[in-house]
Amino acid sequence: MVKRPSFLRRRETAPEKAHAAGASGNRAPNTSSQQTKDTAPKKIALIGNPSAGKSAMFSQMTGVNVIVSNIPQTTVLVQRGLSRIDKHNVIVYDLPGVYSITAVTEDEAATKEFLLSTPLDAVIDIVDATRLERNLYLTLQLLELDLPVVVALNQVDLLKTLDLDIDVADLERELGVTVIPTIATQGEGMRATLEAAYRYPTTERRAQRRVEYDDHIERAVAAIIPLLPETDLPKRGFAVRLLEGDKNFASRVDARTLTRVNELRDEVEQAHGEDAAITIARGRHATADLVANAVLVRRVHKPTLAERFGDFATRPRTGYPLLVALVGGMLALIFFVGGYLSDLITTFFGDVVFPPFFGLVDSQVANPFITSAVHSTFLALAAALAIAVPYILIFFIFLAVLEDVGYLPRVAVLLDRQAHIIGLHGRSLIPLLFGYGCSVPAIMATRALPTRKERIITTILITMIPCSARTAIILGVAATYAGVPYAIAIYLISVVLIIASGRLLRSVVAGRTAGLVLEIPLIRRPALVPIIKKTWLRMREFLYIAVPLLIVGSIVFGWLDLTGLSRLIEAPLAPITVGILGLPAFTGICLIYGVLRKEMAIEMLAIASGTFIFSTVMAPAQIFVFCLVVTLYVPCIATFGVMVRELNWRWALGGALFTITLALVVGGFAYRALLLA
Amino acid sequence: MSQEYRLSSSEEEYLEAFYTKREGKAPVATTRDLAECLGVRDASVTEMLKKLSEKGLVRYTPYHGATLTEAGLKIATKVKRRHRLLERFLVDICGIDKHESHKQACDMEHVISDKALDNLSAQLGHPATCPGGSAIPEGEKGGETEVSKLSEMGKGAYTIRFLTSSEPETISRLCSLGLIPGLTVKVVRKIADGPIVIETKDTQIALGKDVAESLLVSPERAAKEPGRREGAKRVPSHATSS
Repeated sequence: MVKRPSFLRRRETAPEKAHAAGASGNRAPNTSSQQTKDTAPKKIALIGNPSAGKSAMFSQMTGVNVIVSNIPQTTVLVQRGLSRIDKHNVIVYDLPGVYSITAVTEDEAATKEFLLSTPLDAVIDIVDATRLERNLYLTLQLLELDLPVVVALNQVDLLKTLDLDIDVADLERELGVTVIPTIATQGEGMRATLEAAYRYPTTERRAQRRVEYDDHIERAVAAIIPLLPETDLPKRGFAVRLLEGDKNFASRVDARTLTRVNELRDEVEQAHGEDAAITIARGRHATADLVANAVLVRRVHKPTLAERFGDFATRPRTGYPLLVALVGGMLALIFFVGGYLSDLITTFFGDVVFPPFFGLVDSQVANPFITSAVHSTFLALAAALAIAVPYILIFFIFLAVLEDVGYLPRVAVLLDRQAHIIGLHGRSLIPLLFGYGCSVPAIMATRALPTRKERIITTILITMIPCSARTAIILGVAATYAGVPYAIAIYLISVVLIIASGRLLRSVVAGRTAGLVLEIPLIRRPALVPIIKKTWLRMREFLYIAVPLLIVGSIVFGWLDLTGLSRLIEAPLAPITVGILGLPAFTGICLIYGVLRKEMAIEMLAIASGTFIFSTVMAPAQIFVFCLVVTLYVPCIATFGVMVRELNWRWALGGALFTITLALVVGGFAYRALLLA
Repeated sequence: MSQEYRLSSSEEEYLEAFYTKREGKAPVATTRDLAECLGVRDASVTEMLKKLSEKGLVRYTPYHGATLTEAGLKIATKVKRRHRLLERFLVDICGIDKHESHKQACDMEHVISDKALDNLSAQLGHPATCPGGSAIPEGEKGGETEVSKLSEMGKGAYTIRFLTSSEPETISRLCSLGLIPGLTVKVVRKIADGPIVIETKDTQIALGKDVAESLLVSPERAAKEPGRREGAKRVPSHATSS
């Protein structure tokens, strides 16, 4: 073939491309994106029900590490990654999990918005094979919107244990789309799925499954279609969404059309005596049922060990003791193992590394600022390694195991009733539990909550929960140098304050809450690799952000101390630290560092006091008050930032002021109570 | 058995309209609602409501509207069952289109006998939904047509009859999970004064107490295993006409 100028070649392929874009439901309002299509990488989105395995597939396809959990709605933001097919770049998007395209929560709204506004070349619909019928509901909705769907039938490995079997060829025929069996956690079928999506729709387009609605709906849809404006959206899908009362679609038509739609909807509702949305949902579910029944084979099934464990975990008689044992076991593990590791590291640095090293530096370098900086850097490193890593690491491993097993949603079931005491539902407990790890992802997880009121209350309560950094403080300092009862007292006080604050917020925050509707995932055996990966991702954040911050903070602190400037900072804080809380003056600067990161308060305490053995510089009561205040006062700067983003300035500031006041009142009271005792 | 209550066609139509209203979310029907629904004048509605109220089938408060009594609901449910089963019959067996089947069923429902209907139901394989997808109420077996809150139920299988939640988020979430009238769910776990866990479509779903209270259910009529058995293809009972 003769080589033609590039513009001609482009022209030649243009109709095909336009077809591809049209079939893929190119939603771009302007057509400029189509012109750049030849050179622009293809865009593929991953969509699916919560916990169908999107995130696992995403990290397999792109190598971008995202946190994968056995908890519905783990991904709350649209993630973007790159992959390659035949030397071409492909952009892959991981969308938050949704049960349908009707947006209920904010993460679902994000998915819908993205699907409707981004021109995509293919949509990989991840269907959980173990929950086929329910997952097909979303598939049918995607087909109705004429999206370029390729189905990844995921978790096919679990079918066997559930005594189920799915005929993939039958499913392809029933749906009229390509179906590829996958095991995302093991990377099986990833390549095939991505290629099928990349080549879409080169495979011959089959007649896709269409939901046949009840007569009234069909008539109303037929009446709406001629009224619709010319858009890239398929008319039938558009009409159905309007009839369902989808606000997003309603905003795309004029007032007259909307009035007519409302009339038609009223007629349908009159005839059925129920919301048109319910009638439409029934139509889709009936079709999903039909498809699932045609392809699913069931064998006699005996509950597996995992299923029996799941049952065990939600039965109150066994579930509550299990929960108590797990939490107690976790704290004990952190305290003993973490404490042991911490001791080991402290001794290693304090006795083995520092004396000869510092001696060498001091004898070679004359400039006191440089020697101070060197000392500070290594003290900071030792503090980070000795105090934070052992405690935080163990906590994250524990959390990762509980997540992967699928235990946490069962806690939500067990404690839903108790959550009502603080004006929340069991669903809010999962973000709260995450709060024991780190407040930032915990606050992000509140996006999955259905109402704003719940989000606000849960977010503020999360800032009061002892995160792993604070756990390091409570267990590593209070328990070790003041005594275990003091540490337990801090936990108890925080729980009491959280309950009291929840009750208060319940009546202060306007709005309403929606009831608990939560999918319970299957119990899965935790796999080593994902747990290590997840723990590493979480630790990495600590190592990359906290450690440099700590080193810089430590150097600056050393210099302040050297020049005597530190007194300038300590003095104005003295009325609070010494006056109200009865602490030594040098804690003032530690509390300031604690705003950057909570565990820095303690690391700086070690640096400020010049020792890890805090009992030599503070009385047990002072250690207790200090740890209590650090636990409660003001969210750290990252948490504050995420609060501003997720709620707004007012709530973030309000939450910060609230916790500062609470910390000072409770701390001051504790100090005076201990003086009397 | 219930022949003592055999009413006129129009009386039955009224009760049926009540049932339809209730199936939505409105237990109370106003005169205006009913007039619109049945295409008659307000005055005729008022008159009929008084008559039904005398028979103890509705509770009627002038200017406020009316609700079905227990006896009224029983009959209304029966009429609706006849209507929807007949639609099924007309569409599936007689090959009549859905719209036409509705009209004919409206006439036939007032004359068919209970026995004929029960046999018809059996012949059709006890379908769960009408061609339009609405749930067919159960036959009267030991007076099990009563609906109760899901939150009050113990372990076992139930069919969802009504969604009464007033929270749009909850309704929407329930809809997308398929928890709509006509669906059968199995209660697998109940925590005293707390949430319940149900199983449907191979999925366990936890429902808070308030949500469970808003779902009105009746015990399931017969154990219906979804999915095809190995080797045998089962035609789903509520397949839309092909």
